[in-house]
Amino acid sequence: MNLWRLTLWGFLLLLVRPVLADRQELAESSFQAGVAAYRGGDFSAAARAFENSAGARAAAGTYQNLGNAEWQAGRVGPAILAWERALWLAPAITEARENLQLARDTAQLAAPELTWYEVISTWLPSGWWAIITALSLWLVADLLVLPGIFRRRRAGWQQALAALGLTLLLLTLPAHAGWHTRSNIGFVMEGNLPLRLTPTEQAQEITRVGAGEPGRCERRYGNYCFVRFRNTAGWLTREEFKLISGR
Amino acid sequence: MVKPSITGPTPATPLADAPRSGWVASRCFFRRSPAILTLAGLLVSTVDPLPAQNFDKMSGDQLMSLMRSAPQLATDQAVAPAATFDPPVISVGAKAVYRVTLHALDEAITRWPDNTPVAAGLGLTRGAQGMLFTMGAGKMQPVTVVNFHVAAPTAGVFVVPSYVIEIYGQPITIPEARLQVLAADPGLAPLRELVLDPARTNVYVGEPVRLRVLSPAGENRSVQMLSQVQLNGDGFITGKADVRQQIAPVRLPSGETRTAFIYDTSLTPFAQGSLNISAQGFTSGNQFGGQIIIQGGAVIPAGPPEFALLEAAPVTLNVMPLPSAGRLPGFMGAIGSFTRDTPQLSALTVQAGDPVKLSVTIRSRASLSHLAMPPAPDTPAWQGFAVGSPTLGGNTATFTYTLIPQTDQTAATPDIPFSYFDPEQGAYVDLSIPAVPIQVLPAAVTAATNELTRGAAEPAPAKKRSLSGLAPTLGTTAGSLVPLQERGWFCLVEVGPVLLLLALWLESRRRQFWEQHPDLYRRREARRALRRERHTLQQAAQAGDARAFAASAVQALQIASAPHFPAEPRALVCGDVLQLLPEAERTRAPGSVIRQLFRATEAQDFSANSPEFTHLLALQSPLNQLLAELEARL
Repeated sequence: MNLWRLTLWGFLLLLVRPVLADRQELAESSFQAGVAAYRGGDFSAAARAFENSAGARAAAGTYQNLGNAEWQAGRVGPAILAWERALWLAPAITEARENLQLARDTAQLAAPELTWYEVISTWLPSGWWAIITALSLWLVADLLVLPGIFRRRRAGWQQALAALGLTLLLLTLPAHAGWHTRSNIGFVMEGNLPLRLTPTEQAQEITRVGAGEPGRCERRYGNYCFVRFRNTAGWLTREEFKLISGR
Repeated sequence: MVKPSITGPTPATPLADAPRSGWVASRCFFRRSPAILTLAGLLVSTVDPLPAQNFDKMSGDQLMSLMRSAPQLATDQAVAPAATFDPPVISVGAKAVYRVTLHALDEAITRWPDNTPVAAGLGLTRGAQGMLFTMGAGKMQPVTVVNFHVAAPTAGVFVVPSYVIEIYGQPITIPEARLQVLAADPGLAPLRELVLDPARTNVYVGEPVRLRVLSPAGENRSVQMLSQVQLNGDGFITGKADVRQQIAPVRLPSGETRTAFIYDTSLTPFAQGSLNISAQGFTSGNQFGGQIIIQGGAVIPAGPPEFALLEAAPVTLNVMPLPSAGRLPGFMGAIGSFTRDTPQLSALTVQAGDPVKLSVTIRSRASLSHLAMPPAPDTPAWQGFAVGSPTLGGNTATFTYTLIPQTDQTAATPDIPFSYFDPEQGAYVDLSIPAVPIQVLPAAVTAATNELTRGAAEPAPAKKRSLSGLAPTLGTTAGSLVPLQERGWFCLVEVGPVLLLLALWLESRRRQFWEQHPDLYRRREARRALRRERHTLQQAAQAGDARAFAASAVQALQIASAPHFPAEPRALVCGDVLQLLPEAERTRAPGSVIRQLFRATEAQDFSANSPEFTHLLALQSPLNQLLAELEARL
């Protein structure tokens, strides 16, 4: 029975692996095509290529280059979203951060206002926080449970390590809350978009918002998002307002 | 094109004996006894204007009392329509005006016939329309006047019959009016008209130009004051703050010099091209508001004013765009002819970090109300702030800047670029505020501040900000932008260790249970071994292998009996197994089966002769029954 299951998993892995390899290859080739188009001055084509690459495999470098291409093509909203996504995947990329600052200074746009736990969440990529939390959780659980199971006395170092793991676990919880709330942050894609009072096409217009304006999607209704901006709130479609997390 | 609302300004003027703190309606008129005022070159200032009311600082009660003190609007008065020709008698080809006067608000006229009924041969063209308020019985009474221009090509008496209009939704009948047209002019009085007299007709966009509306004296030198003067047209704004009123001899476009009431204002075009401007105003007899200068001899009529709406023929201004070539730094839109006084500093010696004020006065013959200050200098050595807006005084405007030296390594204030466009020359003229020598002493500052000021005095090369280059590789990758902790598979993976720990814990509990109950453990193990052995026994019986059958049967009996002692199954002998049977059964069939099986196997193990086993296969059925009974006791 066990052997049969192992065989099944191995077979599935063999099936999936070529698909993963194909996606990686597509991401690489589109990335190189984008770089070539960018250097050739065709920024719209470069943006399309980088978008294809990011669709095949989300990568910080791809998003950084996508932001550059969109900015050069004059599309402020998509450029800011791409750079934010680059920082989302790799917060240590200084180039994307500087580009964002430059774009916001130029377009007179504000950065999203982050709470303290959201700021903490920007220190490391989301995967790192998840792994740290998981490891610390199981370290604590193992150190507390396994000695009992195996009828060993808990040593002092085991208890100290468990305390350390528990501290680490508790410290990562605000970061997870930050990641969760930050995943609702998004940006307006085009300039002069009407902010709707209701989630309908013929809705009354509250005001107009500019490209690159940051906001938070508080709830969804069909293809519409209720977005809260710094001074106003209203409904935008998901094409008009895109989230960093891509959801 | 923006259509400006142009209304002749009538500065608020209180009654001479009115308390200064009180509010007086803006239309306060002086009533003078009829007299000839001959005041050569004398400036007559009737009263000082009220200081501007600061409505923002008023409380609700003050505003309410202000509203209550305002005269009420008389809306219940009789409309009293009147229609007249001005003048009533003209010669052929002369101009006249058909004037309808109504005591009602102009917006109260809800219907007017599209074609005013008119006598055959008489042409009527719609002219100006205006409204003013007169004071009567403590109320403000609206008076609306509508003008029609009349052309009479033939002599005769022309009658405009009565017709009906609607005011406040009520029908009002306009009475008939008669105009007599003579074939020859016996010296009739001409039509009273205003004259529009711009100082220049070729102007630049944004250039203020003076413009006078003249109300010339009649044949008897009687000068009618004007009120509600209004300039009509598009593409310009008028200056309401710099209106001047005067009675003085003027040279009319016809070349004749005559005393006239002069309404002098400024006009600033903001659209290039040809601008058509016309004017209208009400005659107000001897009533006027604001200050007035009277020069020369004039007769001011006595009695109640007539309030006739007069018009001026339109004039055309040619508005040119400002040249883009030759524009100088510091051009803030100033157009005209300006001069600058020497800039003045509030102190000639100042410590670094302390403020000093720089003032400079700009002079011009034209109005400076629209003059904008050049921006304050901001250099590494000087930080500057413009102090409010220019201080206006007559034909001067004073710019004031607060300057703060950032270092003592400077000996003069910075230049402040400023320029204007001279329409006479058609070129931009530099009027920059020059540097003023000043002694800057070192400030008593900390080392850190000194470091900062040194840094300011020696500016670091400006870091040019530009977009970063492209990332050479994909960099950090991820399967999705969704955070790892929010993906389903990650949550499932997290369940694995939970299950593992749970399994380990359950195993530990199970082990502890067996340790605490060894008897149960032995019986359970015996049941398992017995099942296996019975299976072997069954196979041996089916194969007809009597020897194997006997060996398995003995082992099964030993396994089923062992937990009751407890003992190792192989250590048990036939007697041990028989002990487990009831006393009665030991000598009967079950005991016999056990003995036969043990005897056969012992003989095989210990006898030299090979025993016979075949008959043992017949014991399968009682053996199974016996084993079932023993298993039930486990």
